[in-house]
Amino acid sequence: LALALVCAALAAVIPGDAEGAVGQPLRVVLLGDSYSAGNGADNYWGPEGCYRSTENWAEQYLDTIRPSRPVTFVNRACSGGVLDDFTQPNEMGDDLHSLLMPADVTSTSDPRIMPAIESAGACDTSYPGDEAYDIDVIAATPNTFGGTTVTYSCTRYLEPQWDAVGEDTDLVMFSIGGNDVEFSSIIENCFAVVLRDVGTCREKIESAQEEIVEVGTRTESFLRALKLRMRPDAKIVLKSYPYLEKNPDYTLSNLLPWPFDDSYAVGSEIRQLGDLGDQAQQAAVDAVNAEGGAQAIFVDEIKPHFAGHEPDGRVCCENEDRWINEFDGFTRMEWYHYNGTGHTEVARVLAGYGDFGTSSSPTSNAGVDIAFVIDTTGSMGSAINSVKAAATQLVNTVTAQTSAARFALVDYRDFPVRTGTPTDYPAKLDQDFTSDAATINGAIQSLVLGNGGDLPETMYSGLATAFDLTWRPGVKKMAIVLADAPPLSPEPFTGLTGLDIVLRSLAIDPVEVHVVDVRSAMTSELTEVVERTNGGVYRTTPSQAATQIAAAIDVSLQRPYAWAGGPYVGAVGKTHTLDGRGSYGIAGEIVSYEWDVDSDGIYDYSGASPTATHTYTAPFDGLVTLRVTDSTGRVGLSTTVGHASVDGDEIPAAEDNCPAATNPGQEDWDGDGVGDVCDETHGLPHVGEGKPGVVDNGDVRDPDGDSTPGSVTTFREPHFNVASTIESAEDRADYLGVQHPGGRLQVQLVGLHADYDLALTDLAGNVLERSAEDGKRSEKVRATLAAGRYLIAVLPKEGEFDAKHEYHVNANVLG
Amino acid sequence: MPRTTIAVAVAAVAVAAAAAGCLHDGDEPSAKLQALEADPMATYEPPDAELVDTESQSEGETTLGKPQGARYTRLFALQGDGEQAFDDAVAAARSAGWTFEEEPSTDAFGGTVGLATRTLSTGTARLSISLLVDEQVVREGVDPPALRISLEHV
Repeated sequence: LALALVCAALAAVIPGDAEGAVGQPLRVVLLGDSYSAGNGADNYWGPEGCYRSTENWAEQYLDTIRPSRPVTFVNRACSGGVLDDFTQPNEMGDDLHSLLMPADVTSTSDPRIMPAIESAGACDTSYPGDEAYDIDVIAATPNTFGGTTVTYSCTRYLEPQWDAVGEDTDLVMFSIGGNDVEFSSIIENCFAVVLRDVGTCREKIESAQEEIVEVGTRTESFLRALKLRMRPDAKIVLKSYPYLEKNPDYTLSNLLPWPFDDSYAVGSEIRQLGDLGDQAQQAAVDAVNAEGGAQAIFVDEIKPHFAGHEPDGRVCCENEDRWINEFDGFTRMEWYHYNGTGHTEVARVLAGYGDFGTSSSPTSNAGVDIAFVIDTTGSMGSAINSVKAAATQLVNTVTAQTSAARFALVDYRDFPVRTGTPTDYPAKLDQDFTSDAATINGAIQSLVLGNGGDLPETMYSGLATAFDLTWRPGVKKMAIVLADAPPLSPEPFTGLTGLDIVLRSLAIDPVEVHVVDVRSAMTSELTEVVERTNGGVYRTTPSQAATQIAAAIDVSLQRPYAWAGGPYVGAVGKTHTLDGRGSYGIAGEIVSYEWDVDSDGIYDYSGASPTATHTYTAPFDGLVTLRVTDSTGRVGLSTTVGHASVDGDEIPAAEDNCPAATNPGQEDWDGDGVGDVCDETHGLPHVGEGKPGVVDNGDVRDPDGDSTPGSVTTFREPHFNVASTIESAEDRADYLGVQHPGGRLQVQLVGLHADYDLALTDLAGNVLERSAEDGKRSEKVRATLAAGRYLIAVLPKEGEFDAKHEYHVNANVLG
Repeated sequence: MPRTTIAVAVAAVAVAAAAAGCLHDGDEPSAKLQALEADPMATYEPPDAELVDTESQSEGETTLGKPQGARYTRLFALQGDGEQAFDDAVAAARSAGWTFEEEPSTDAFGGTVGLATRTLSTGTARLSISLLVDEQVVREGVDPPALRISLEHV
């Protein structure tokens, strides 16, 4: 009967409610780079450096859909994203930390260390399943306080973006490829005048033109693999980029005298690069569409729609009607990205496609992640045999209804030091999430019993191990505990309590904790865990364990689907619209929406409307919980991040390089520890208003009086060693005179802190010998010359200078 | 005349990193870049080909703050049969231990691209071998066909 109920629940579709959207649910995942995540749209949230915005084009586009369909939207795009980030973890850097431990902690493998690190919270994330840390305990050394200092590193990484995509996903949208061809280097070398250089700009664009071939092929491979994760009726939208220069005839020149003069038609070349990118991406889309399956759509209207609204790369001018930032503001990650208008205009283009013809997952509860957490101590024999006997039927029944179900298996016993059995363990992951029925069945059949010792067991370690898995966003999540004994609490070594389990569950939107109790597992604390996570308790006999697991799944799947929207991140005083419109009923219409905005377990707002407004009046860092109730009284829960701070970003104040102003990227141009946005001496070179990062290249001055051949009045005889500086980016050359007695002359330029070249010239500045090593490498020229006066030219590459450090020139006659 | 520029990008990254206040010393190739440069495909030379350009880049950040991976890329102007040169390069890569998960395929510009991976001491690396036949995707001054061999850390 219970298995039949599972089928019924999976097939039931009663979307909509009295005031929410009434159409088919729509599940959307956004992947990609900064042109997807939200750079330039403000209202940022999420893992540091990703620049996800609640105002990006995807959100604005979906706002046109939300009135008619309940939308679950997951943004996994991240600034800097490349194709590899779709399918592989994206390492975001690491930090070193230390903590004080007792003196008897003498080894990095001491079991007390990891719980202590977790308690310290330095490697915590507000976005589990999306952002994670690898913890590496580096050293445990005695300290002068009579204890041990444990040093460890936290390596931050983002989970593969496509982990959020599955059979339940109706629509995937993304832009990609720009960073694969080093878009950022092109911008800085072609447009940021203090950095730009004609030759490097040319090299970067030419390299990108050649690399587009490879990137197009890799895009095609990715689309092919992505389609295999999605239903045949799902849609994939690949959005093109705009042109990055308004003027096709814009030419970049370095204004140096012959023979150093150079120019490059950057306007036409970078626009052609954009066209080549479109050609490659359209070809990739066409190729995979020819193979059937989920349809990919290449949205190529962005360039024509943005015509005339691109940045003006000329130093003289700004495009007053730009939809893409030039060098606006102090946030480098917003430069040459959509501004607010740009995001709105992209959304407008997409709105022209309606909902891209998306259907909905054939069952409203198609997405479900189920982790079995099973006590495998000796007393569980008959219960496990029941589950083993029914496992195939149980799993097959669910997977027959939808391949969007995933299963994982964790078992737990107790610490070996407590049981005396070396083969025991607090918890073990037997099978990570899989949608393959045979795989999970195999794992269940492979369960063996251990000892476990006394009655309380390490159930919380088992649940914590399950929670550490990568759960999909926007699907039902269940941890089904099969146990005959209560949890240890607080658990030795880990310190886990029921409250920890509740908080970790809620942080994953939440994971419902269902307990199938075959003897005497329940305690008051465990009951609270079940209640606060919206789970259930199923008391049964060991032989009926499998039936009760099926009942647990049935109960969960009939509950209304809740989606809390958000995250709700901003400064204290900002008013948020809490948006539960993505929620929908299963067994009945949703009749109430309740919001707990401060994680205190008390619902602060309730009503029949799916939306409410809230203003944080004090700093807050926690979860916002939405509870929906349907007409049958069934309840669904959803959580999302809530964060209010003085400056509105999510960087902890103690670590924030500008705690008084929003700077989620922590930009610090001069590296002085003070963020640019609140650093009066930020060091960003700029001239005039509105173009930080830009120096007028046409305004070549001679600030130190030695920047032209004709200005040289002093001629030194070798052997000499002189020191000087390039004063500014406008100081395009320093000339030194040399009175050469004749023979082989060697000149060296050393001690460089910027990229300078060296030349030996005649008195008119005509180059006789030149050295152009890369970067800050020393330069050297040798020439056999007749006796006479010559000039030594120190030539900073365009925009290069270091007024703080002197360069050194020495001249010697060899042999 | 084709020109040869070597390690331009390394210097660019070094300058960028310094400007951004980073601590990287871009003048010294990173361990990842050194691992790429030590791979046989970093020194493989197609017959009847002229090296046009070499770019090497350590991992780091651009001045604008975007991450960049370690990469070692060479471009060759081919004098003879481009397809043969491509096949030879793929064969050399296979001999050197690179695994092609998919067979090389025609790209959007009429050329051919082969993608392979290999585990180096510093992590997973990707090799791409591109036969460029369309002048739109070959730099000015180089007549197609050209062969691009790029190694990068994933």
